[in-house]
Amino acid sequence: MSGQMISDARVLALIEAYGADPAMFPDAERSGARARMTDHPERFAAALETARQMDALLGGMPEIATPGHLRSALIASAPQPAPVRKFSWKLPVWIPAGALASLTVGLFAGMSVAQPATTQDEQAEAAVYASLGFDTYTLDLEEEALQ
Amino acid sequence: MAFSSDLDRITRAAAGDPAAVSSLVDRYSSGVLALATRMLGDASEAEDVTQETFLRAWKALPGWEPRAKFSTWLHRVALNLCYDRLRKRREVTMEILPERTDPAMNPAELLDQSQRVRAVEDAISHLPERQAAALTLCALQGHTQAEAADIMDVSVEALESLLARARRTLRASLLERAAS
Repeated sequence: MSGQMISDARVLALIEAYGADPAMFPDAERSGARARMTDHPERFAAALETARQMDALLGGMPEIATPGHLRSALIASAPQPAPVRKFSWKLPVWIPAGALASLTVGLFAGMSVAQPATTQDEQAEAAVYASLGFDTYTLDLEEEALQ
Repeated sequence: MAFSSDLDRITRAAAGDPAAVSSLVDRYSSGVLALATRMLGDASEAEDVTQETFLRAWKALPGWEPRAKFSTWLHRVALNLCYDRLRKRREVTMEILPERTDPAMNPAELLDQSQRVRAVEDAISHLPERQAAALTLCALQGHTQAEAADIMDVSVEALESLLARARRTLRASLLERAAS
């Protein structure tokens, strides 16, 4: 907004709301208001003087800092880190030992009774069946051959 | 520890990172406390409001919407808590003082420094609540018009009107005190 586009009434309204310092005015109107005030200082002198008095009073107000006890209380009320869970085996030690022994026996038994496939095709089919949980395909082939 | 943004602080604070929590407290607690002190005119109540505000903030952190501005949200919570307390005090209603606009009188000249600070603090805390909030946020805490309007959930035009009325009422109040 240019100096020509802002009215005296608007400049007075800005002074009344934001004080005497144009830096506090809204960005869009600041330069226009400043130009108007420079061009016609007599029109705004009284309003500026009143605003300066109030600005001085407000500017003299002390800063408020957070006292230490309040800071501590605020921090203490914050979310706490999730506790790190330390792994500890709570069941009797014979349970995992038994499971491991069963697994070993099962693997050994399975490897002992497994029969090798005879050709490449049969090996491939045996692998497919084995992956599906069957291990009887080669036995079936042998039975068919005997018949 | 350096944080890249408030969102970074919030994310880490939600996970319980003590440095992020301290950073949020150090960054925002004085502003919240100052707002509550000016609004309520009572240091103890202002501390209560600050604690309640941060408690609500901690609860809100895990589901924080990344686009929201933490500072604005926090001040808005504090302001609403102040409004609640002021409404509970409503039995002592402050009548709006008549506006005395005698330009020859300067309240700053009629009071000495310590009286002046006390008088201004007291007068602000007795302003109508929305005027007190507008004046505190803009004139004392340096929020932009847009930020203050957002915190107060009003338009910038409404904020401007509140500011003008606040300054007039404050001046009249101070002149009244100085004269008595």
